[in-house]
Amino acid sequence: MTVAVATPTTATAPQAIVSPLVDLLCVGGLSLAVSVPLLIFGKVPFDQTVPALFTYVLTALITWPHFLASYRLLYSSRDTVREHPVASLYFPLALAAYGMFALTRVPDPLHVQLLSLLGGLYLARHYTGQTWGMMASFSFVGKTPFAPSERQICQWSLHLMMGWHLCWAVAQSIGSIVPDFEPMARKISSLVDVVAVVSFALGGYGLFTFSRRIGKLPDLRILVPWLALYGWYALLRKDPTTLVVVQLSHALQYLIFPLRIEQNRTTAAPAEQRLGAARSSTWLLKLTTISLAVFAGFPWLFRLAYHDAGGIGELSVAFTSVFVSFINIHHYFVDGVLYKLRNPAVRRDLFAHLTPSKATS
Amino acid sequence: MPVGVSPSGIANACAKLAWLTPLSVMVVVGFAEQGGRWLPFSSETLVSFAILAALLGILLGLIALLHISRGNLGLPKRHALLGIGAGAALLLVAQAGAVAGARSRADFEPMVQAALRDYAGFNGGVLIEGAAVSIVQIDEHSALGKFLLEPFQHSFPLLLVGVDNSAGASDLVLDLDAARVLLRDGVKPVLSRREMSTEARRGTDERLQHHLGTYTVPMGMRLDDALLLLPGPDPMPSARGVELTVNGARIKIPGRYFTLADKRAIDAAR
Repeated sequence: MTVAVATPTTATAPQAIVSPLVDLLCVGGLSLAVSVPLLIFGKVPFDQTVPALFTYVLTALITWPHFLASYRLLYSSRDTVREHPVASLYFPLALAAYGMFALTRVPDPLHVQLLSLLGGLYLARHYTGQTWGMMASFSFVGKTPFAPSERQICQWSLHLMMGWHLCWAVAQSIGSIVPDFEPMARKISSLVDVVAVVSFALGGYGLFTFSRRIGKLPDLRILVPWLALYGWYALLRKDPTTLVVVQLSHALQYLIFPLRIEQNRTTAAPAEQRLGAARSSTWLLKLTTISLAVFAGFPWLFRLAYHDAGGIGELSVAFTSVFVSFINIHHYFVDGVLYKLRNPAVRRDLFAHLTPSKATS
Repeated sequence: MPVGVSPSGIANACAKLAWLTPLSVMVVVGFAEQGGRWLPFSSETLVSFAILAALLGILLGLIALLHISRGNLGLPKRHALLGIGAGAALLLVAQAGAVAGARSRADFEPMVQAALRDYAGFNGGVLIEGAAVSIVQIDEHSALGKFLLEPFQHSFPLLLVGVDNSAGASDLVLDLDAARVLLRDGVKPVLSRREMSTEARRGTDERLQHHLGTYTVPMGMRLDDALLLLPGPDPMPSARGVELTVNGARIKIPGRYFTLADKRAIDAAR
């Protein structure tokens, strides 16, 4: 079978998604710069040491646009919608139907909390899956692809961390759904750190064999997202209220990819185009504006209309919770569908700026 | 040569405005979530703007589509459809909120009326910079009292604090953490927020989250359900007021206890 593969060989093209430095900072450099000091010096609980408005603004500037960026990739063309009908239509419709059902059950919070738990669990797959996506992408950009065995070892280290995250998330949320399970979930979560140590050792071994084969240290943009993931989970273990830092780090890691895809899709000769600060800022500003309208505007409009009509009770809070869960879960699903590096179209979109494609068997 | 407006020109303009109009208003609504204090609109005005923008978006989108069908333009058609979709979503959310709110009021109203009419209790209030702060005791055995106490492991005498800031001059921050009941012969502290949290049943985090910090009531908004729990036995029959913190300052809310006979007499006099 002949597959179009973009092989980065052009000497003049930057071997980067944006630029080597920006890539490094976004995929985990900044995250490590924040999470390591927080781990060592951070006061607990984090959410009471940082002004809520500060984290809100960062969320509006980074986390919301990352949701919207993936929606844009999915819904901006009819072809993409047709290519992924489950992600674009059936799944969100089913999820929205369940969300509406959950709201009709309020004040019984069970289904609202189940949606929230589902989002928390799916996040484990999303974070670890994206970390592997970063590592694989930059091994490709750096022209040092992983060998199958190395890929398997590294992926298994991330699967183990997914298990850690699942245990942690269940321990955080199960008490509100099945209170009797909470002590057991917390017990399991307290024991599961040994899995993280095994995972770190396994991933370290995988990267070591990779490094030995290529005869040099792996590109920092491969190492840093992997290290950053352990930094996130160490932070969450220390203080669950640092989840907002982890969300921001993850969203920042993600943002440069849709930025590059949009650039490559809209530019006739991607290799001749650089992703300048002005262009990137404009793109981010547009996303921030629209996401403010969508992610803050809709839940707030519901709340205003509800209270203006004399509503009392938790329905407006439940609406926000269901809305947030819907966006989160759908986003994880969409990402799982859109970003498959084995898909030639994805490779073309992501790496077209590096070099023209050539056919290989 | 006469210059006219072409159908495609109208279509382009309408299509752009169709999605820009609801988007602009929703940006303001979204901003109001945290920045409501800097906006000169009440919540009712914002909701009305949103509904108006939604209708306008749908109308403009339809006008654009009518003209586009002749010109067959790709991008304006997508913009027009986006405007119609955004307007419809906005209308749906605003109407769903209003309908759910009205139903909730209809469900609660009899409970509130019964709690105030059929049980003895404390009642007080004061005006602070145009905002009305009121306190009403809800009997723990009333249906409303039972509902409000559902998230807690034990039953407590309880007070509801309300703030009507619709005519207020600025945001109002209500802090009930160190509130205390002023008695004829001393004071009695209420349960702190930490103590309330300790008393909460498992699985009620979401319901109680709203009560565990301070309450901010933006200018133009109301708050009806700030909770004060009192350690038993009920101290309110000898209460002459409640002291709490508003905008960082200690404020006394004067009031008195009304027996059931008092309430019946007042009702009879109306």
